[in-house]
Parts: sequence; structure tokens; C-alpha cells
Amino acid sequence: MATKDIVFIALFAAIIAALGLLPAIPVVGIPAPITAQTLGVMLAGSILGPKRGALAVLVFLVLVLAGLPLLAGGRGGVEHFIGNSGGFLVGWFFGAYVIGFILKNFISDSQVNIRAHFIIFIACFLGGICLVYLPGILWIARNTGSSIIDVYLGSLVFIPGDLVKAVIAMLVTVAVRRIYPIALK
Amino acid sequence: MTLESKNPVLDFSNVNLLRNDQPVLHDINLTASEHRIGIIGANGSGKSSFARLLNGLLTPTEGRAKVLGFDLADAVKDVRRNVGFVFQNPDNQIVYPIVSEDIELGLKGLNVPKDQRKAKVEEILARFGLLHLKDRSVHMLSGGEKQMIALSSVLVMQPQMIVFDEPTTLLDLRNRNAIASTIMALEQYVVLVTHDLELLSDFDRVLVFDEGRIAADDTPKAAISWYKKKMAV
Amino acid sequence: MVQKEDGGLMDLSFYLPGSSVLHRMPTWSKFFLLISFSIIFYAIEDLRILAVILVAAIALVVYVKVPVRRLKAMFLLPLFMVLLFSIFSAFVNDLNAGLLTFFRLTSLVIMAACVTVTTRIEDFMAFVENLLLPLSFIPFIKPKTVSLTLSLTLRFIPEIFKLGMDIKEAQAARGLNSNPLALIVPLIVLTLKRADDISDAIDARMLD
Repeated sequence: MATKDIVFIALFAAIIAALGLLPAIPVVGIPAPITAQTLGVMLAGSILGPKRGALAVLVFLVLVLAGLPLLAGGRGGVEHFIGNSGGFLVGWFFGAYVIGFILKNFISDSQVNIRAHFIIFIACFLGGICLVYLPGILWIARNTGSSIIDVYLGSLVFIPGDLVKAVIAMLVTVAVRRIYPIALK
Repeated sequence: MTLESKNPVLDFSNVNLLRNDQPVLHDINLTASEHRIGIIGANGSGKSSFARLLNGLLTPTEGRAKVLGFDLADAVKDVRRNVGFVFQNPDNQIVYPIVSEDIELGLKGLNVPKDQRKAKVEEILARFGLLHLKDRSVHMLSGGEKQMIALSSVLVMQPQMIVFDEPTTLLDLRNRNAIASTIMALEQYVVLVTHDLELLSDFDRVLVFDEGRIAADDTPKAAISWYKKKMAV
Repeated sequence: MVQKEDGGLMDLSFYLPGSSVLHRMPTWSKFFLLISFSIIFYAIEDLRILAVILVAAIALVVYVKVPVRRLKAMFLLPLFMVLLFSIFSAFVNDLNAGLLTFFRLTSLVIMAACVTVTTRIEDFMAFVENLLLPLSFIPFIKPKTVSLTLSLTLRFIPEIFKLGMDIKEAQAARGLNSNPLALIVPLIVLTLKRADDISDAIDARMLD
């Protein structure tokens, strides 16, 4: 792990934190403003790659665990991992890895054609949504003694908003690749 | 630390440097032992790359380069131990969130024991009248204060030579003057890369870089006037 | 790492100085107990025992002397979420399940918050580094690297936040404030571009 990798990891962890601290962004056509933090998690994987992206998310989570108010809205501490959002936080780590893994293996570093757009979106969907909701739902089901199906059905209402986020993540990834391509590691 | 060493402080012969497969420096030949050496040149002339050779951040692609008697080919660690580097943007140089922690970083690298580290940090800060900043968060400091902290974190390692890469470019006039007088008061060998030509008026020697070569090598007055003529539109 | 009163980001942590038993307990023991309780509480099906535990948790918060304003900031959202999920559970299963959920989760959330409030960041960082020591045979896990990475992150959070605010301002002036790309793309590019200089600066001073 070279010094530059460490720096990328730390800078992106700081980006995820900063995106949680900055006010939510109103987007035309969507009722609620978008908290960019979950975008940041997806982008860690899509821009830095599987290992560095996952580590960036891990560094961020460790700082939240330490009690720093870095979760969107100024929250932090062990209680957020124990409570119902714990599963999602853990899912972020695996999600970033999966997104990076897909991009690293299916498109080349500076590719920005239609196929690349499509693959990046699929990666963000699989890693940023499916792999985050999976542990998230399981954890809630366990915590509340509910059946997984019930929790799953309850969470469907959030999917449209998350799909929009995946699209935005894809667009951001393509834009960053055009301006400042980095090898995915 | 003596300023009259028998071996040249900088000893470069036929040095070429490629960065990202692009040639950046050609045929650099230089022997120097002056106390203060200035480096000027247009952007892209290779002066920043040359500066980074001096503390081993880069190593020659061809040729031999010795700094303070250490050969960059096999003694890079010794070079870094003895040559400090102050970057243009202190925000990229200071890496720990609290001032005292950042200054300690270099001491940790030198394996200075913990009890001595605190004393040395306080000593260097007191020297510049900055002791009150010891426990401050770095992001609360002004640009001038940050540059002084960056310099302190380098000086605390007691290098024999310090290389400055455009240290005053981002500073306002008052801070620029403060840094300038601090630099002139340093006992260490100084190599200063700058666009601020006035800083070099009391220097011993000035090199002008142009397209990767040393185009002029003279007293400050002569080199600067050569440079100004070349840069005239 | 030190927490100071001058307004740095570190001061926003939830740590409250004090001298309670919890403050003095070593960090690893607090986390160990927390994890153990998480497991134990889920094995308990008796509402009465859980109610007692909940009361004990509340007593703990009182003992640690968390000021009311802090309590609101820390607990309001998590407890609201707990309430929501308990109602969900009661609705989907039965009242008993709902109450079990409520008592368990609330107790755990309160205890977890007590741990947060009584643990200094630097102690937590040391705890993480010590945890990783037995793993240091894995090439990229070195305690010093971990310490540097965490500190580097803390160093840059306020900078990147400020950069974000500056970009927002600039984009608002151009009428682009409902475009997330206009904020996020420059934020990421400008930040990552600094990586070369920062890693040079680290290499110049970190000699081992």
C-alpha cells in the first residue's frame, strides 16, 4: 500500500464525511433534497476501486464509531451501529467494494462510452442499493423480530429515491473519469 | 554542521530525468557549495522537478546525483534525513489535525523518544513565537501561520539543507516578508525555487532553468537580468 | 490525539469529560460489554427482565450526568427510530413483540450512547490500533499507517467541507444550486488532485 493510496483513502473518507456535513441538495423534480453522503459511499468504490474504496468507507465508519458526528445530520457513535441503521452502515463497506470490483473488471479506466455508462449504473445499483439493503434489512428483521419479507416490503418505498442516487453516482463517476481518470485499485 | 565542507554540497553529473515517460531534465551538470542558492525559471522549465531531486522525492533516470555527499542512487533515506522540503501550499504539507502532532511526525520518523519529542516541538515553536499555536487545530490557522508551521515541522528535524518550492507565492505581503527574513536567518544550506526575484538579492548563486536545462548560472544580479531579458515580451 | 476547546472539528465529538466509573474503564472493556449485552438481551424473552434492564440503562445515563440538551441531540432520532420500528413490529407481529423490541433496542441504544459519551477519541483510536496489532502480519495493516490514515482524514474533513461551501456559493451565483453534479464533481476532482503533493510531503518526513 503506497503512500499515495493511503492519501486517496483518507481524502475520500473525508469527502464522505464532508458530504454528510454539507446541506442536502435540492434536485429539480424530486420532493426531498438529496443527502449526498450515500452518493459518496458509492463514489468511493467507483472512483478509487474495490480495495481503496472499501477502505475509505471503513475509515469513515471507524471515525463514526469513535463518536464523531459524521453521519448526515451530525450524528455519530456506537449507537448507530447497534440501532437499526447498523446493517446499512456495514452494507456500505461491502457495497463500495462490489462497485469497484465490477468497474475494475468490466471496463477500462478511462472508458466513458454508452456501455460504460450502463455498467457503472448497474454497479451502483448492485453495490449501492442491493448490497446495502441486504444487511440493512436482515439487521432490522433481527432487531425487531419481524420477518424479512415484511421489512423488505416496508423498505420498497425508498427504492425510487435510491435509483435516482444511483443515476447521479453514475453521472458523477463518468464526469470525474473524463477530467481526472485514476487507475482503480 | 559546517558550511565549509570539502566535498561539494550538490554534485550532479549528466543527470537526466523522465517523469511519466516525459523528459523533464536534460544534461544537468552542477557542482555547488554555496550557503544560499536560488532557482528561477518559467513554469514547466523543470525547476520544481530539480528541487524534488534534492531531497530524494525523485531520483535521476540517468546520470549521477549526490546531495551532501550522499548518492541518490543508493542513499535516498540519508538524503531525506538531511534535506528538508517546504512545499508551496502548506495545506498539502501539514498532515495532522493538530499543530503539535504534525511537528512530531518528523521526530517520530527519526526515532526520537517520546519524552524528548514534546520538548523539541515546544522549542521550535517558541523560536518563532508560535508556542501559543501548539494545540490549535490546523484549519483555524492563517496562511502565514500555516507556512511557518510547515517550516517548523521541517526545521525540528535539524536538516543540513532546506529546499523551498515557491514558499511565498500564496502569501500576502506581510507574511511574505516574514518568511523571507526567516529564510535569510537560517544557518542551513538553502535552495530556494521562486518567482519572487527580490527574495534572491542577497543569495550567493542563482540558477536559471529553461526547458529542462540550466541556461544560466551566475550571481543573482547577472542571472536575474539574463532571465528578465529572456522573459521580456 | 487531543481534543481542544478552540473550535476544531474534534470538539464536535460527543465525548463529555467526567470521572464516572465508565470514564475510567478501559475502552476495550466497554466495547466488550456492549457486544456481550447485545447478544444477551436478544436471548431474553421475559418482558419484566427487559424492563428492569431498561430502567438500569436510564439510571446509567443519569449517573454519567449527560446534560439534557445533549440527551436530546443524541437520543431523539435513534429513539424515534426505535419507536417506529417497535410499532412496525407490533403491527406486523403482536404487541408483545413490539414491546420486546422497544425495551431491547432502547436499552442498547442508551448504553451505546453512554459508551460514546465516556470514551475519548484518542483512547478509541488507540483501541483500534491495538486491535489491529495481532493482524500486523497482513502487509498493508500497520498500526502507524492506520494512525496516519485516521489523522489525515480528520485533518482534511474541515478543508473539504469548506471547499464544498465555496463551490456551493460559486455554483449558486451561476444558478446551478439544484445540480448535485455541479457540487460533487469539482469537490472530488479538486480534492483528489492534491494527493500527489500530500503524499510527497508525507514521504519527505516519514522516514520509515
